[in-house]
Amino acid sequence: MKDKAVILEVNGRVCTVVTADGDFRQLKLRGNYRPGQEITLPRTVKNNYRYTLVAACLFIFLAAAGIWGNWMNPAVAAYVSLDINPSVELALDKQNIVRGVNPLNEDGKELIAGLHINGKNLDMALQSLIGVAITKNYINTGGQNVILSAVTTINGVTEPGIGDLIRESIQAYLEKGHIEAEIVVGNIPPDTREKARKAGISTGRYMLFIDAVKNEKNVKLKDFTGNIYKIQQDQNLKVKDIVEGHTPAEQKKPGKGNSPVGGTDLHDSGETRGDAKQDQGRKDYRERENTASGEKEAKEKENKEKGNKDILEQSGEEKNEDKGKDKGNDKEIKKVEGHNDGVEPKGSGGASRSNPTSKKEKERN
Amino acid sequence: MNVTEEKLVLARNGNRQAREDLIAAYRTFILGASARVCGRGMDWNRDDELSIGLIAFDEAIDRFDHRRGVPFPAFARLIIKSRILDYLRKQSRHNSLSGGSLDDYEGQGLSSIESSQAWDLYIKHETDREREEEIDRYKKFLHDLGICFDDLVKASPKHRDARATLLNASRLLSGDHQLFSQMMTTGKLPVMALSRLTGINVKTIERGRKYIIATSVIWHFCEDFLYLCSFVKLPGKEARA
Repeated sequence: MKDKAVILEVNGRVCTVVTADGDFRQLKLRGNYRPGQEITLPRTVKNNYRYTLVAACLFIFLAAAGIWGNWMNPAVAAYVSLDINPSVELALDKQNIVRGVNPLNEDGKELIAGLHINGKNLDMALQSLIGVAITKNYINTGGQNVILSAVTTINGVTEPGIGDLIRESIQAYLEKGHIEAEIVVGNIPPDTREKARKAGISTGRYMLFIDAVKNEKNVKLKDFTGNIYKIQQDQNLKVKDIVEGHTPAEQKKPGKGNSPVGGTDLHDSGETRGDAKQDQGRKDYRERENTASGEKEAKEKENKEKGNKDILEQSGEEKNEDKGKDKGNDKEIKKVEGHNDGVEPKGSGGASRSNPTSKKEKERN
Repeated sequence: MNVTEEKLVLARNGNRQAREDLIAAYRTFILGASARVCGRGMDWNRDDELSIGLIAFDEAIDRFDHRRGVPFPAFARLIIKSRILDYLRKQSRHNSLSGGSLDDYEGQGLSSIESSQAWDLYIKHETDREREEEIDRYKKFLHDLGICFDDLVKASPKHRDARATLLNASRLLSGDHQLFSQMMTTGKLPVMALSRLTGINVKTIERGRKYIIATSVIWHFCEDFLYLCSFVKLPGKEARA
């Protein structure tokens, strides 16, 4: 009885009915009905409607949460570090949209203060960064500048597109202001970036540092924290050769093996100046990547150890200083890791933390 | 209605007392129904039509079938109406010899008509028509009180318990002749008096004002709104049954 109703009024498809328990309702019914007719209430209609509504709400909520979550924490596809005097690292997604900004030194913090580049595309972000760098006099409008950028893709695959994009966008912006600068863009593998992160400096600077160590120079991390152009002058090195000569493993042809013959890659040959150095860099890189060639690795280790020993043996005072600095470095590393939490996706962050400390650091200690 | 249904079953099974009780209870109903068919006031001592009505009511007790979905009073009224019309037709034929074509039914008795599908069809058509008429009357009645069905859709409480509260109030109101006639003459629901009578909050009654009026009308004029009256039931009563 409860499910029955009497039609009171028919108005098109909308029927006013009264149910057996005295409820007056309006229903949408298909078919031809006359007032006074007794009908069985389509119980499922109401319930269906309600469940559909709930399901729809839930679906919309989930979809929105999914989209929002994806939007808030998008997959980072690449990191671009930028060094002038300030060091800044940008996290990019697949569409080259900036998803995170991480200052790597004090000047970097100052550079990005007040800038909103999250969510902008790489081109816009770089232009505003360079713009601020000019107004804050990190870029010398009258003199020589070196802008160093290191691109690291998460999967290690080189995408020359990003490098060209960075170069072009910076170049275009500098040309507008008639500023001379050497723009160096290099592709750096993820593990090198990881080591740099542990050391607490930008990937680009880290590349310069390990190159200097390799060349048995008496250098400390501290020497690589200032203006890139100044570093280039002080350390008497060619930033461009070091960074751009360092091409990731994916570009190598497997057949080449350990052959020291370099410069056959079209990508590099046009730009490189110091072929010997570049080859050296490449070889080293290949050796580090290729763990099978243990002999050479051992040799390299020996070299490095020797170099470091030299550094350490120079004076007792400096040794102590080094230790102190190491502690300082550790602190800095922690700090930087804390910063990086915001930039890195959770998965990769966890993985990187579980990595053993870099070979180099082990050796130093 | 439950009492009536019980008695109907008893009477059909040969309980004379139950039958007598039913007829006694529906005496005024039979009078009203017959008077409506004839279109004039009637008196038990004077009019033959009332005898026909009583016989028809007796017939209705035997033939009532709840599965048809027609409430007993409506069914009885239908039978009374059809039998009185038959009687009147017969009378007019005797008077003017104009209804010769209906001779077919003579002598065959009622049994053949009863069993025929035409009878069922007739009942169905008649009840459908009556239902529609009833709703139409109800609509007009409410319209005179300034209520339309849309108002009731808005005013009717969605929760069953809340609805039961208001329905109880309207049931009491329909049973209270003084209050009800007061409402009909003034056109206003005596909220305070009803609140005192039912113990329901004044505000609750005020909010369900139109709903109470509309439902109490159904119950008070139960004979006019037979189908609605038998259809809409008190939820509490139903639960108890």
